[in-house]
Amino acid sequence: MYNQINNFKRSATQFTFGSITLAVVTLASLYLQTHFAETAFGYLLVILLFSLIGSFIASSALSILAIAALAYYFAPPAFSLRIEDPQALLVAVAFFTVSIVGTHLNGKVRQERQAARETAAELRRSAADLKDRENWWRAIFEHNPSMYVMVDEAGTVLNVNTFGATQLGYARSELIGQSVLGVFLEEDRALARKRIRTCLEDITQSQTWEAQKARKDGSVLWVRENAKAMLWADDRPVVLIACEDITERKRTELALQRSEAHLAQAQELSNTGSFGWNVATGEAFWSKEIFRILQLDPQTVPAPELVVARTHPDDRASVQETIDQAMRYPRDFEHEYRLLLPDGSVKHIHARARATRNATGDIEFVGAATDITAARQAEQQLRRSEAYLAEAQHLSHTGSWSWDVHGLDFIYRSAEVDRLFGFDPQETVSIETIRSRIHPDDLPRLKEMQQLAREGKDGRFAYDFRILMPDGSMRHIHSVAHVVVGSDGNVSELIGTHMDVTEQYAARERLECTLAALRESEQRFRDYAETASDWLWETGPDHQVTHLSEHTSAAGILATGLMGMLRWDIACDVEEEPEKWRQHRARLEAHLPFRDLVYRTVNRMGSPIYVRTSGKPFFDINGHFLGYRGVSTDITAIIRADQAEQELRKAQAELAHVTRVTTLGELTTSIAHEINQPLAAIINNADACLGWMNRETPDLSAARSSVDWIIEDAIRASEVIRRVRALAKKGEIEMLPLDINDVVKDVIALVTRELISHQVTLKTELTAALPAILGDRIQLQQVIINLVMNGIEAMDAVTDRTRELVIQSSEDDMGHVRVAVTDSGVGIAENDADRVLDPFFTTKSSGLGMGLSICRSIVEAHGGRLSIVRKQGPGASFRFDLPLHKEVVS
Amino acid sequence: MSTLLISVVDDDSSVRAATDNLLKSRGYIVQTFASAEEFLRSPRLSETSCVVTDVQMPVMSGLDLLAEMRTRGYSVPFIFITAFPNDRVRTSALSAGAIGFLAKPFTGHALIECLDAALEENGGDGDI
Repeated sequence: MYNQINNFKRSATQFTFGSITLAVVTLASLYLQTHFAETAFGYLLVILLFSLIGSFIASSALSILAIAALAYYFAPPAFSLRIEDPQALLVAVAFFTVSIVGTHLNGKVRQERQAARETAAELRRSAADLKDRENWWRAIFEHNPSMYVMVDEAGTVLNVNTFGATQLGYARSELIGQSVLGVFLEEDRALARKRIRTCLEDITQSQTWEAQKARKDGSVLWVRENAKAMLWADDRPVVLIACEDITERKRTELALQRSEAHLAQAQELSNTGSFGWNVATGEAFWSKEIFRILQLDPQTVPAPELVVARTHPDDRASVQETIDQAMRYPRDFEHEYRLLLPDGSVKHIHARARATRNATGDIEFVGAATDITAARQAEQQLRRSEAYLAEAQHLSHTGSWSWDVHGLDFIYRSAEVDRLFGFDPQETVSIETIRSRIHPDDLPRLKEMQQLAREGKDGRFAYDFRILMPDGSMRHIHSVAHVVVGSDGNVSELIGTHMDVTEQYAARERLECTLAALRESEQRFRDYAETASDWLWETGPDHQVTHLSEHTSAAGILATGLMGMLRWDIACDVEEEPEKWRQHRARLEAHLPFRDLVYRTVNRMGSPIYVRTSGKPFFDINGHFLGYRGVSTDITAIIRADQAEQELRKAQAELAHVTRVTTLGELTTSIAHEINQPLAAIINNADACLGWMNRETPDLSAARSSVDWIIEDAIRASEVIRRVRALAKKGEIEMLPLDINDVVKDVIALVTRELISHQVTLKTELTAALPAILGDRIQLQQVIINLVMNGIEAMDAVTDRTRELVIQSSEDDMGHVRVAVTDSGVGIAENDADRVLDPFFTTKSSGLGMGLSICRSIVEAHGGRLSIVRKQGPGASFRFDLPLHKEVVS
Repeated sequence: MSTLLISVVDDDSSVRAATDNLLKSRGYIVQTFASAEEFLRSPRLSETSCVVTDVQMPVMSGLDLLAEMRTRGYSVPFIFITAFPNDRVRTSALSAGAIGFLAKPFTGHALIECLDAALEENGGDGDI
């Protein structure tokens, strides 16, 4: 528009001033009367001159005006526009052509010049522009916060921007011309070289990588490099590298990677997986650990249903319920459940989730699930071991406790401690109540122990005390404890156990009693042995003497050098009595005990001595024979005394015989009666027999019975005679096993008539089945007859009461058979009692006074004892005890 | 043959049995007693025509029995037998009213004679 207006203005100016000039030229030509050609020429000049202004249209208009003026004024006809002259017309046409062409050329030239001028201006402007641009680019290159490096094929730095150099800690000049590998870490250089090569191989392709660069100061810079090769002006390839400092990002990235790795590791180590769950979309995210816990392929698309599927059937309903609740109410949840995994194992899971709202406003649960199987198992294990411990404590009656030495109360005590004190562990019991059960005598010692423990800090200590139970019983407690030293270096608590040792205590007491009894028993038996013998001996399995222990009282008897000898080598009577020794050795070989073996040997002085020895085999716990142990006594004196005693016995026997015969004399009447009775019966029966036979019809059966009775009565008579003969016999003493009741019955048979004639009632109380005694039948009969006759006699004077004689036999606790003869007669005067049994003592007018004395000798010769028994009421009671007959081992 | 009841009292069983045997072989009716007390308890005490008794018996002797019978008013004749014949006993027996006194052993004939004499005297009447 501006240009058009400008052109129009220029054209108007050109036309106006051109027209004026033409008018002037016309006037001047008219005035000078010039010819047409000259005028045309003038006009042509004006037109050409003005065409310089530039408008072709104005020039054209002026040309037309000039032609019109030529035609009007200077071409004949004058003053007409018509040109009749062909020459003038030719001139006019030439004029017009020249003016148009001239104008056109003029315009062309002017346009050319304008263009040239414009081009020059343009050129000038371009140069400045280029300068500006270069500066601009340079500034960008220099100051772009990226590192730019340009290297040649060899890796030599052609250029580097200031930022880049600065980042690397160098000045630009320090890098340019140097190998770019200098800024790479040693280990990365090969790779860098390779990358440059890669760029050069494909010039069109840009390459990107991340690398570490070494700063001048040695520190490392992470960069992301973008490189591309290009051909330089002379077709030389260069590589342009733009580096971006990604150290920070790299650090963050590494930190992130590390923390992710840490998280993953932490999850794995803690068996905890994390999860996210968008309730609205159903999308879920599980960490690797969740997959691992659930034993699912990590590629599986997570979903809560998978958890439910893996849940233990027993817990499935509750897990489903939790999930349903979470879907309905977006609240935090926490639950525990078990998984039943495909391999059959069971895992305990604890899961917690927090309800959060994400950016889009959806409810999202974020949580963690922990595999607490180990903890559960440990817990179970702990619970079980606690139960075992409690059971063990219960069974062993051992309680454990911890005592606060400042608070003076238990910090902890196991249930068994309460039980030991007799409390129900379920009850709450105060320390005072517990203390009240401790035996008052033991309290001060307990306090003292605590004090010592507190002050001494002396590791472990033990003590005993007693508990008084409500039922009055007592428990013995053995306590072992040690101190616990607090951070301040002082004793803060005592930890220990109480053990019920009541039974052990009782057992110990029993053991002590037993030991004491054992010691006493040992001493007692030693005393017995020492009292009953002169020395103790021991022989080994081969019967050689291994041990000899002479009692002090008998010291000096034994010959020396007996150790290791055999008994039959020690004895001097082996040849004299081979049978005795044969039997003895047989007993030893059979490992049987022996008793009262008497043999002759010599004492230390070489004098002959008699030894009586008894021994018993002994065995180890497996029953292996180890030898014999026994006692020996020097019985030389006894053996010598024996001879004297035998003489005495003989005299006594004779005396006994005399008294027996005397007694028989006293019994003559009774004996005669005893014989007459059967004789009378015999005669009567014989008479009767004749009577039966003499009947008209002889009664043979009655006659035969009569003869049978005759025979019986004859036997009875002969029995009486036998007994009398026996008593009257002066024979050897015959010691045989006897039933004392038989002896008593024999006696009764002899004295019955005597009892009747003295109107004495006989009462017998004989104990049946008495053990046998060893004795001489006649001598014992004599003793009983004597006692019976004395009794009968003692009752002669009695008229005011029943004359009763009681004969009793029994066995006492001491292994004796006892016979007592008791009368209800006059009794024995107090001062006579001691002398009654003495020889020649008598209260009778007749008699030697030897009866009871001989009885005593006889009883004592039988190893028994005759005594007078004090009795209630009138009369006297005599009693004799005889030892039981035993199978004597010789 | 008499059908009179003879009571025999003797503590010796064989003598008692032999006496019983002897009297029965002679056709007497006999009852025997082991002691005087047993005889006194007998329900046939009053039927007895003659008592043959031992002198020496425990608790109650033959003489005691005679005295007791007389005290009770029985005049039945007594024959004593004894293994200890002495004059003191014989005298006291005869004076107490015994018909006979026999020493053991005695012959059957002696006893029968004595018995017959006693029964004769008594006239077969058991009562006084």
